[in-house]
Amino acid sequence: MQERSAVTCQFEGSSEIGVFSCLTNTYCLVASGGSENFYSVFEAELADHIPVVRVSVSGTRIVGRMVAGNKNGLVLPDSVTDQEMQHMANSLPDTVRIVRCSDRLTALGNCIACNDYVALIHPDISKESEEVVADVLGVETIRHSIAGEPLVGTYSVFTNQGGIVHPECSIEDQDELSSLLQVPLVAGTVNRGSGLVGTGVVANDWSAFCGLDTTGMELEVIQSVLKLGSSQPSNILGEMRASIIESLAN
Amino acid sequence: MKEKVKQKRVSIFSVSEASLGVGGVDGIAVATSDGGEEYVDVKDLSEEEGEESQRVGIEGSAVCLTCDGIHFEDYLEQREHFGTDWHRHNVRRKARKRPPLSESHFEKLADTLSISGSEDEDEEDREEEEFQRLEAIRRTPKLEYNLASGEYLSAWKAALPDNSSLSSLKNMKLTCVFLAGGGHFAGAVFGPQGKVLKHQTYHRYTSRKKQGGEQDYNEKASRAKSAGAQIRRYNMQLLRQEIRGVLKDWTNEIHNADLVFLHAPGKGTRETFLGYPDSPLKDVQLRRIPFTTRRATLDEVKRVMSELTSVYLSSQSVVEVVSVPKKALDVKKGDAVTSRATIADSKPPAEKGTAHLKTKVPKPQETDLLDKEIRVVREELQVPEDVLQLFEACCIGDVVTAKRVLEIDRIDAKFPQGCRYQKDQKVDVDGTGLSPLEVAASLGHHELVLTILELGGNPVEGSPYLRAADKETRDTFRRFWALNPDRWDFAAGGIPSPLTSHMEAEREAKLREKRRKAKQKKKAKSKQEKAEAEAAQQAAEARAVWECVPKPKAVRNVAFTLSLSIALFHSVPTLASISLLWWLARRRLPEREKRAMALEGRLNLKTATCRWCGKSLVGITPFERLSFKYCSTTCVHAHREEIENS
Repeated sequence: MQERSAVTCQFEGSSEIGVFSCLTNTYCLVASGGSENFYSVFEAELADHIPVVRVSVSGTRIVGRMVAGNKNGLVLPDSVTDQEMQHMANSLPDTVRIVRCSDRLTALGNCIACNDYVALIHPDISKESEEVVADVLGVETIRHSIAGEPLVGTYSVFTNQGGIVHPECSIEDQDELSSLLQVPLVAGTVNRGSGLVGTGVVANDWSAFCGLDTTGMELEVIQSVLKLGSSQPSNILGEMRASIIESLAN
Repeated sequence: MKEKVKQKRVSIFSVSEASLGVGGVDGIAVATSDGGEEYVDVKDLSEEEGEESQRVGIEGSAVCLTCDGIHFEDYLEQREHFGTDWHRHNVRRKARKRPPLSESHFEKLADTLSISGSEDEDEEDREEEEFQRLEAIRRTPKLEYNLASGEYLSAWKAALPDNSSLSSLKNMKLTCVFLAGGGHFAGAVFGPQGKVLKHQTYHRYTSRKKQGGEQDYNEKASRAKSAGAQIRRYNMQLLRQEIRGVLKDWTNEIHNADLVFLHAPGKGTRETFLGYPDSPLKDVQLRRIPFTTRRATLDEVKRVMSELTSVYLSSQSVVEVVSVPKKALDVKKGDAVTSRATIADSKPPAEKGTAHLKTKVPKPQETDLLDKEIRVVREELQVPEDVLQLFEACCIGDVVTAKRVLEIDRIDAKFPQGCRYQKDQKVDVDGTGLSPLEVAASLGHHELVLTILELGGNPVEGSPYLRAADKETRDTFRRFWALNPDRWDFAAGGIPSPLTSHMEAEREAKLREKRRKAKQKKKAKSKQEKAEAEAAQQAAEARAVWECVPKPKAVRNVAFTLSLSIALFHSVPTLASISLLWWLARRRLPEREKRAMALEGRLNLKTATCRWCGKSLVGITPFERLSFKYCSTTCVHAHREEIENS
């Protein structure tokens, strides 16, 4: 596996890359019609492992905000066209279930934050939609809000390794949520201080993409909590092992 | 929709000490569904809340902060909790910034309202209503007690010295009330039972005529140099000195008073009272007057005091602004109590709503005491049923009922209880309002007026005669005077003179004479008109005869026109007269002339066609526009359009 670290990129001058892309452990959706550069960043990083698919959702490019998915499935809003669905079905792995969900709330990416085992959902999502999400994504659904904001997908991002939440989320809330999701969480920012972490970061278990504005400090926090790159304690130990053993030997 | 709730008002001083109980209504009585009462002690509540808030701080990550910081053994239990309806309901409450419900509370709620954690519009409406209700309770200036009888007893919050008990209101020893504004000042010190001990009023010319506002209000914009402005400025200073003088004189009373009420709107007026170092009002807790006051006079001060020291009994809650389903009301009572308790305690609202309410069922003797108290209050407020009936009869003019009540039930028509009919259709006991006689007179029920008068109604008390709606009712009073000249001093009641049958007969005769004269006059007039008409007809005939004499055509035409114009002038029905003349003329014409006329007629007829469709206009009144004639308006329009287009 390649060197694991967060990559920064931009979509046509916008650092809110989470709006235009959706990344899971088994596939990656990227907005079609954008510049080739954006697509190629994802392709270079991921193409060896998972399909990177250019799609649109109900004619828009804001795919990341419209869909919610993990390795098991993909939930699309009611407004998505049959053609688009067909295209996704053709491009994504056969194990991924693709389902429409007719809910009052259509920006599912904003209303649902999930990893492969658990999903935070908007408190006002209907019961039927909640069942669809739980069934298709194979997750346990939890109605929750982040720092008092019901748009959990906008204000948080988490993988099976860890997650980032809005900086105004209190320590107690983080503890509660962390225990609930069973992943370490950190309150952090992206894109030079933006609290909209869901739109600033897309991540899966072994890679992450951030907006170009993201500072080094923010990158470091993201990498460490998502357990990417060289900041892993085990990695440090690995690199230093030789010298440690040497010193112990003496 | 907020409806005007009918209330009965009674002064607190007229309620006996025993009836209020030794401690007064100190706890807060909450009506329960089974009609019993539960006492909720305010102290218990605050203690419970303290414990709750302490528990939140305990360490542990598997918690639910939404549902009041519950702790779990592990995350599985936590996740399970997060799936429950209770948690979901609280999440949605949290999103609307409402306090969370406890589990037992939620279960009760769920049983009655069949709610779940999912979206439900109805439930939201209910929640909204409940929220509004609690808000209304918080904002209302009155403190309300639910009584076991289902009625509500309310008093002004601001008027309760210890903020909660009616007995404290009753036992007030000393109260100061100050009203000021618009150059007026009125202050009074009230002793026990609301008796005026000291009072002082001043009025100075300080507010600008027409523009309104006191002089200093205008000074902000420009300092006027007019004579008026200087007078007002001087007067303001004078008034300020006078008011401060009164405050100084009354310093002792102010300091010893249970309550001090101040109504001084405006910065300047407020400064008069408080804006100097020695102000005695600075050392005491001032209270606002929780209702609108009128011009500061002694009467107004007294009215304010009597209003403040009154309690109200009503069948409806005065704090209820929305109609809440009965069930919801019962279930939500916990919240309501917390809210009320907070007000009564006048502490900042702490973590409320979640405390498990410790309710105390009153001991038998307490219940008895409360019941007794309410009974006494009710009795003192009660207007006798038959009096109510009488007033009702007066309103609708029901002589039979009124008679029955007055004769059989032996209600004194003068109304010793002082029951009076109020404008808002309520009979009150405080002595203001209308007497039954006044009600009947003002509505013009003269038969009823006579009945009441015969049965002892007093026409002098109040002003029933002046209120009489019509002449017949007024005459009823006067006739009664004529029949019973010694019964009352009728002149004092504003009745001008008695009306005897002799006078009435005279009046009747006069009227008859007047009518006869009018009839004669009318007859003469019509006779004259008839004669004139006959004369006109004769003249017309004479002219027609003259026309029959053969004359040169020009002369004849002139004569014809002349006769026509005369006929028109006399305004005899025109068409008939013309045809008559024509017929007369023709009858007397020689054969040749007849033929000529017929030809003329034909020619006329021929030309008399609709300009547009060519239809004959014989026998119809043509429509004319410009010089054209048409058979119908459609033809008029069509032709007009054609002309305009060409």
